[in-house]
Amino acid sequence: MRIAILAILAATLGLGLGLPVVFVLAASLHIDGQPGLTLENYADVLSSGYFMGAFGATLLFCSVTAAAGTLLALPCAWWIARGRTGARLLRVLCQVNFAFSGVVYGMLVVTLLGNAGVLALAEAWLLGTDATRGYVYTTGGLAIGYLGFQSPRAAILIAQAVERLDPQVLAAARVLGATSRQLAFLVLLPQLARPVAATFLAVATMSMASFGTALLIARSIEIFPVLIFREFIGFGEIGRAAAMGVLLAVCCIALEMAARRLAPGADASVARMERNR
Amino acid sequence: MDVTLEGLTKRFGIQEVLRDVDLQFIGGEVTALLGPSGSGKTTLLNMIAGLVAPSKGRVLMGSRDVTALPIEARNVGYVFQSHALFPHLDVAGNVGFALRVRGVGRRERRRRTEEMLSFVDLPGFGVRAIETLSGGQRQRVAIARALAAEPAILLLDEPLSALDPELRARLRQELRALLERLRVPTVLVTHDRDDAFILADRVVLLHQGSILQQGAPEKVYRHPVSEEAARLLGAANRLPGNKLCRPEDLAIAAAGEQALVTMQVERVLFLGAHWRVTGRAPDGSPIIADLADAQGCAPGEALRLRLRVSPGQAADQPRVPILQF
Repeated sequence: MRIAILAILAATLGLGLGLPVVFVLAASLHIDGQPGLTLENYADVLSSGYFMGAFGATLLFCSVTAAAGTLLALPCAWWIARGRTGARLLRVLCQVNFAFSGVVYGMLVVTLLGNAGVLALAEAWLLGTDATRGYVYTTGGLAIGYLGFQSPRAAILIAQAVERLDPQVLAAARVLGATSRQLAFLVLLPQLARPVAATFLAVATMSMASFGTALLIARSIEIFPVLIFREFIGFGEIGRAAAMGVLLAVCCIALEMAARRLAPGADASVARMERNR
Repeated sequence: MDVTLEGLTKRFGIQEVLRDVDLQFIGGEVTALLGPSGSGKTTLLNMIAGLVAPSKGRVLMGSRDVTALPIEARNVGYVFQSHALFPHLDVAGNVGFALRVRGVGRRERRRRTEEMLSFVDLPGFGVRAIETLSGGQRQRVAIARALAAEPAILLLDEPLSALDPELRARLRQELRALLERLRVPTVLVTHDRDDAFILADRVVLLHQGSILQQGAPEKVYRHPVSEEAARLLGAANRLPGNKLCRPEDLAIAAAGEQALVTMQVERVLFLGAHWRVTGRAPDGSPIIADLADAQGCAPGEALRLRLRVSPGQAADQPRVPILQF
């Protein structure tokens, strides 16, 4: 029985993950019309100012939004973990986030801040101005779109770390004379530093790899996964798109390994999040 | 400084966890709050610390009413069940924490930390990480941390629970030696009779939120005020005539000697220092006898028991008075 389950698992993994990876790797090492394997696609991407600029910009954008999303998630995570009023609802709302793809987030932000978005229409009706019209297509609008899926996921991850804190340690700090501020800065944050850093890296990794939101609303900044999509669908540059994909995957794996190293306990949570993405 | 509790009551919803508790804790005295799970002993400890607000009553430190004071302003030393040491700080960081949050200068903090570590026999341990300490060392660090800011009272919540018996016995002795040197009132919560008897000068028996009895360990053991109090401190046999006695107060009656009770033996267990014989009296009530020698006793046999007497005592003057209710 165990052997049969292992065989099914191996076949599923092989077909679902191994085979596509092999195809992508093979495609990245091949140029149409040329025999044998070549690193030319990689050289092409790595020497291109346009692609590397987009890669750097994407990395920076995802890092900044992931940092902001993680910080924004802290109060929410605390609320959920401490079981305050409405914590269950808040947790459900954050978990619902996993069900939405990036495209859905993009559409939500467009509905809110697009040219005919709710906010733009309300602003025009109430104030007669159009400051928010089309805001979704700016870097700020893109950041709002990213924060929409980053913050709830960060909140769930950090809440798990807060739940693991020994409540007696917090009580001990209070009994020893710590004020709320001292409790936060001398006890809580130092203990949460590693899980928070791991959450930041996990969220940054997830953002680097997602392209649905960017595909809909990124106009002011070139998002690397969108470029891969365009190379593949728009220009039929399959080899180059595959090389770009491999480079992005290597970057994401490095980030994820760093996250796991920072907070070994967060492994399961990150894995769960990755599965749900 | 003495700490006084006046009419402390705690209700969670409609459930009354503690009812009108009046107690005084005297400087230099160790008091054990002893009771089964749910008797309200930890709630009482938490109300002294300020972690739980009383529904009624007052907590006085000296003549000062601290009932409404927030936790951090109470000046209480608390050793938690899990020790609750800060894992991100080293030993010195933990011990000096209370002084740090009070704004005490670094030099004074270091001096006091070293003094406290010497007090708990851990000199030179300041730079050690918490995870490198043994259970006993952690406990001593927790005590040093609780005492560093010179608290008005030291509270210990189940200080020896979750330890294996050998370590527990060793730490009991260490803790007793440590507590004997303290000048502040010390209150410890336990559900273990041996812990209470070895560590405390006074035992307070709590049952269903009320104080059943308080006094010196031997007094509450030998002279319980009720059957409940007697049974909280260990096994007690109900004898004919609605009387109680401890298992160790029984001995085998010699031939021709008048027996107090005849027991139908059910089980004979060798416990090292003595034998524990269990069975039933003729009326069916359970009997437990701790006998110096029970060789020859076997399940199914009838065993004639009398009250044990000390050497030189007449048989009608038992070492222990029979508890009668």
